[in-house]
Amino acid sequence: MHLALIQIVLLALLVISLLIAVVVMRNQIAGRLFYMAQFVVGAVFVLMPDWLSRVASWVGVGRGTDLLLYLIIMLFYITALCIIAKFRRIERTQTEIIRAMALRDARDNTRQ
Amino acid sequence: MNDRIFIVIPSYNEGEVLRQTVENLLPFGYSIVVVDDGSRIDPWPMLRDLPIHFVRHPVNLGQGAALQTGMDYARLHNAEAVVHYDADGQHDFCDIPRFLEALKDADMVLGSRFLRQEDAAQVPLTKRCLLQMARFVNFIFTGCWLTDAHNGYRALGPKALETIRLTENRMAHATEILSRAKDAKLRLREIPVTIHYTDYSKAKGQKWYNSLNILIDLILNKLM
Repeated sequence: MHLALIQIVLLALLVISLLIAVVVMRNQIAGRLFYMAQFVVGAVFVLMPDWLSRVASWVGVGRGTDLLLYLIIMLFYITALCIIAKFRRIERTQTEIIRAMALRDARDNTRQ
Repeated sequence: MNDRIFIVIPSYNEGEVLRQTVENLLPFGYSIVVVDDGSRIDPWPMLRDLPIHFVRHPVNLGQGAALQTGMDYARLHNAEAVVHYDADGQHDFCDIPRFLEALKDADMVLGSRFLRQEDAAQVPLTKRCLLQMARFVNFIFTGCWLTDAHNGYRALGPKALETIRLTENRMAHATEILSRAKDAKLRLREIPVTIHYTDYSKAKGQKWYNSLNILIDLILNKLM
């Protein structure tokens, strides 16, 4: 089987991102599984580009690239929402820490 | 007795006017809590000779966070009631006894600029339009149909202090406080207040476009 240069590059990138994801996501089984599944799906479509077109026409989208675009947009929205939610949680804990510091260092001038 | 009434004054980069506001309140004998929300210049040196409580956030968090810190402080000191009071001199200290009186048969008392003709006339026209929209937004998000919205002058009784925890650090807290009150089935009451719009307070006050930020915060708060 002959691999085009782009397929080699993409596969290499997929392998690297899988390695990073698996190393970074210690103790997060769900996250690891998600990235492993993503790796498998990615590798399949890199090796068999026409499969994507077949999936696309099966779900009623013209071309494989269009299907990919739609999926990426959806993924982008979900990611953005997850990041916003995470930010709000971080902001909440940060507030609690700062509040605790402020209350610890409060000054009471009324008993002088 | 008055020292179990805590006046919580959030302040952010206020300068001279903060001291003036505090000095006006001192004769009543309430406990005064100034919560500095990480101002660039620490106002404590300007206030240190006054008999007040002072809490300072090491970094800026927003008015909602400052109010909650003040309420936490008041609760730690066995407060009977808390009054939210602006640092910029907009609020009239003569209204405080009426708030406390109203708290006798309510858990939370909200100041309103639209219960008396003469108070409403004080409100600049653009602000009046914006507040009408804010009332509607409050109704959508909380189910409370009030005569005013985002009026910073309010008083909370023991039950409100017990149940309300503001998580919206910025201005959306003014709507959030209504949701929490509604959830906890608190008895709300509105009383008329006069707001003195000085040039300082107008310059310091919120710009109209911040209402969009508030709206986004509220939607996010509903969603997650």
